[in-house]
Amino acid sequence: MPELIFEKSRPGAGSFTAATGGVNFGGLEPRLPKRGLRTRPLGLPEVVEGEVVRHYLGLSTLNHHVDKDFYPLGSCTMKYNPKINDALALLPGFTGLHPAQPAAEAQGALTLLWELGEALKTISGMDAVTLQPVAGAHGELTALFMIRAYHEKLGRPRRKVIIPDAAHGTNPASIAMSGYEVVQVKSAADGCMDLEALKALLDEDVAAFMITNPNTVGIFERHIVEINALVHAVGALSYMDGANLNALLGIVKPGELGFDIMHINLHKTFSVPHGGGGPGAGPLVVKQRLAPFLPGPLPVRMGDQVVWGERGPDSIGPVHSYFGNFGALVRAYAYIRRLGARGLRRVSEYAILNANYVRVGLQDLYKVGFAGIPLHEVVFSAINQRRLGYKASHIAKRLLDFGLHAPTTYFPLIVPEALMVEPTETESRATLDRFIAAMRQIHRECEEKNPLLDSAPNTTPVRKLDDVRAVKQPRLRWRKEQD
Amino acid sequence: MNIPGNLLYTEEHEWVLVEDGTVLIGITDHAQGELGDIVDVQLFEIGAEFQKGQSIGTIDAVKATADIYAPVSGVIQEFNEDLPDGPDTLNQDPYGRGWIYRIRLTDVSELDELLSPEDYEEHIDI
Amino acid sequence: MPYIPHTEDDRREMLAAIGVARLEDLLESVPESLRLTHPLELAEPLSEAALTRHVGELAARNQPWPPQDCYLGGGAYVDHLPETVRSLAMRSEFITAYTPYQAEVSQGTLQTIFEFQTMVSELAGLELANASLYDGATALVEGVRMALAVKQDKEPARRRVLVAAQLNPRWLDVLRTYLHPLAAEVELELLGAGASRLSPEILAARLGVDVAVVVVQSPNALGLIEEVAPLAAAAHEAGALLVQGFDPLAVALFECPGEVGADIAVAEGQCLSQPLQFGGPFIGLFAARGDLAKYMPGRLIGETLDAVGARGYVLTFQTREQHIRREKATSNICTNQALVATFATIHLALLGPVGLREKAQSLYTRCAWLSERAAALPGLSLVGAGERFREFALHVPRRDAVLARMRAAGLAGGLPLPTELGAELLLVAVNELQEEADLQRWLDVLAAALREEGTHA
Repeated sequence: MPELIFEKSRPGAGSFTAATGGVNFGGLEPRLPKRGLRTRPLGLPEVVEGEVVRHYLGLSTLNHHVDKDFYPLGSCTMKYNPKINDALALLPGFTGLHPAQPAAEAQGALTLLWELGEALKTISGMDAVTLQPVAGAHGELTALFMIRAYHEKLGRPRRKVIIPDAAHGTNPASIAMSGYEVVQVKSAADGCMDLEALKALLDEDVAAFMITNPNTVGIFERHIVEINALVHAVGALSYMDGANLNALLGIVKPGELGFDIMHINLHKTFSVPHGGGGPGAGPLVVKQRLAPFLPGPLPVRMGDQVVWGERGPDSIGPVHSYFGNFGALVRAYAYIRRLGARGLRRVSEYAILNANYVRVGLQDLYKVGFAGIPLHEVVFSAINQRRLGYKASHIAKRLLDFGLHAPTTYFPLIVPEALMVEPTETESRATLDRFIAAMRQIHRECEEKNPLLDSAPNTTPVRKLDDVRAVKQPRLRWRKEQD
Repeated sequence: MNIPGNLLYTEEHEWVLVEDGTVLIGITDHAQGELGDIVDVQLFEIGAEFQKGQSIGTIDAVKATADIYAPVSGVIQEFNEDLPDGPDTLNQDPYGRGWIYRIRLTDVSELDELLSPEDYEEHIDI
Repeated sequence: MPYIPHTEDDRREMLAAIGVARLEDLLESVPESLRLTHPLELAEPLSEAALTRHVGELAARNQPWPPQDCYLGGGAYVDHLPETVRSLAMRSEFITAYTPYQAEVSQGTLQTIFEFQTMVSELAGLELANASLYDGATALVEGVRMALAVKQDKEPARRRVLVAAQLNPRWLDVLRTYLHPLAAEVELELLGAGASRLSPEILAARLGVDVAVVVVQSPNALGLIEEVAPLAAAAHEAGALLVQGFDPLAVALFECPGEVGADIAVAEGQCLSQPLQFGGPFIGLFAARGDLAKYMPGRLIGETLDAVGARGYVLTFQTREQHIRREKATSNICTNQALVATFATIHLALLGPVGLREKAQSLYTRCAWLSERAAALPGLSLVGAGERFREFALHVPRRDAVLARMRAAGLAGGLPLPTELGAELLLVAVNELQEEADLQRWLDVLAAALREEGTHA
């Protein structure tokens, strides 16, 4: 592996002068504070600009990324990220805007925020929106704060929130952070919610029910309207985790299914790039009765101007320093405007087509987790391969040798040896065929007990990394003494 | 799969060795294999009282974490002092040096609800 | 259709392979009664050219201030980001990569973030740093939550959180939002309202065996450097932890959190990494004492070896995190601000220790020069005494009218502070693009505005 930037450091070699052509004191005599000065050395590297460029360019080439090849990561929606969106987000009229500037000086930005909010309301069938949350988990947490505020307003916050056992880990973690107790319902044999089990858990201490729809095995919750009615019957609110919204654009409006509140991952469904783990954006859309609890401030249209509305007395307060990840919101806005209603509906249709094409291409060798036609993603269980002595993790690592990314493994937890594949609509049939062929070859290798499976990955920049060593001999930062 | 014939089991992959009035418990070979390399164990103190099914500790592997669910109700009489410093013993010898607790039973009849080796083998056959 | 590669033949043949006739047949699991019968009511799609024009027009309706005329700060700062940073960090390889769960094909992101952790650890002077949080405000929240968890693990009765009143008001608002649901277990108390700094005496009077954590920011919301060392000592003596908000540039000059005894340190990293861009994406920097690893929120990258003994990097200590520990996780955070961390890392690599220090010094110099002259204007007074960094708070009679006059003269003269921090306060932030003549113009425009408002004889 390449040296660390710190190992390339030579005292006096680089720094500011080389980077920017001289430090700028604005023509003033430089001064230093009189007291409270730092005495501890500042261990930053000293490397000249050209070497910095080579270093990070070299590192970048070690990444798999969606501009390079396929990312069949279930529940992650790794679609193509249009270049125009990045360019638009970097327009100086956006990047130079200070968040404390009054609305009158930021009419373009506020108009964009307002229009994006309106579009998300239309797509989701909801009544009100906040764009402040910067990630899916952040949106969930904001929603739970609002749910608590709603019940407090009615007299008491209640105690529990129900989730399916197949829920994303962020759901229970957010529930705990909002002071609620997590109650899990077991999924039924068809991968959907077990209605009877849910009924048995619903009572007046339940604040909310959270569910991903289509669920984490890619199946639409067939009884969702009935489920939401049951939830409402005990006075609880129904939350939809919008992580899988890429399956539903223009097909179903979650608001019409009875959901009260939903977060939307703009970095999944609406093409905002993932950036190696963020930044994303996780706006919340809600029904009218929850609108008073939204975090403020919210953009409001007044004639031909958009202004910041006053934060109401029931608002939970802000969840971010400013208005969320504005740069990500510009990208999502551009994406929606580029595609329009018909384009968005196509997104979901072709995402579903691609997932099912992968399903039929592999189902004779890889057991499909649940029967029926899934929507935008398909979960396989590598139990046939396991009987041959190989786990889902072997298959995942071996796929890397084919220049493909691995599917999501070991999630959802209810499927043993899960391999979860979400191709997205932007992958061509040729790419899917290449993935299917690789998976089929790997199955043959399992049958042949091919040693390449045990040593995989074999062709990557580094070989299989030792996770155990990373925990047992932790090194979470570089130190000179290590050499 | 190693499933000793002299032990009783739970669906949550614990084993129970019945001795006079007390039981030893641990996790099964299957459980340690599923978890992978175990790197940390958090245990309850001696004297702690608990009900069957309650979590009485946590086992951390590198990419998984598991609760230790009490196979029976009782009181902790002793815990394996070697585990906190050598959690990988749970991987190496789950039925021997990797025992976790000695428990004084509060309800001997709960033993009847545990799985036989044959039932457990069937339970883990996927 | 943009971005969808399928031809008509592809569609037909793929449907045939699946064994259905129409795309609609794949929606079997969605009850027909629930399906939309009309297209979404959205604006007509735009070509890329039309989109460029439309969004360009929106951007043109904004009025960002030229850096030399912008004295707005309060947590979001004008900064010169070298072009090298953007050109490298905006590469597809960084932007379009996913979270590095498959470490062997993610070494670019992983090594960069490992370098980021090392840099944040150096800035804060604390052993541990994570892979980033959303922004400064939420980093503070996580710091407080972590401190509570550390203390309450052994002493559940420690439920009070003491917060210096001179905390960034936006951070305080967010902290209140997050702590409200825990009101039964956690009590937030503001210390020293009306003062310009938190004094050890005020803190001492409120400390007790039920305090879990003390929060102080330095430089604080008034731009003043706090004396954190005695506060940390007092907090520790009372058995509490100290969480410090810091400025990643100020620590190049002034004592860092690790030097003054902070247990956890958090910061807004925007000034190292991103343009203002209307408030986001920003980035939360998070560092902590070395013995607190298992309580850390967010992702951690660790060094290890591969199967043939080569060095490499992986996500580690993952059992702290939501995808494994679920409701017992240290935080719910999943997606973070990795790309922003990449920007910050490259920027810090370019600056090096000398560059960062000089950059900080250049801000210190401007702030000192301008604040002295501002204070000399009749009718104005500086808030607090002693060292400041980057910005200063000024009491300005008829502040809002004065600000409006400055704006009319072509300057964003400063940020009005909320009255909780004092009446008619103006927070003035300098930046490294301002020259002496620019600063002098600010003084002249302010003096003229004061004259026109008749605030002094």
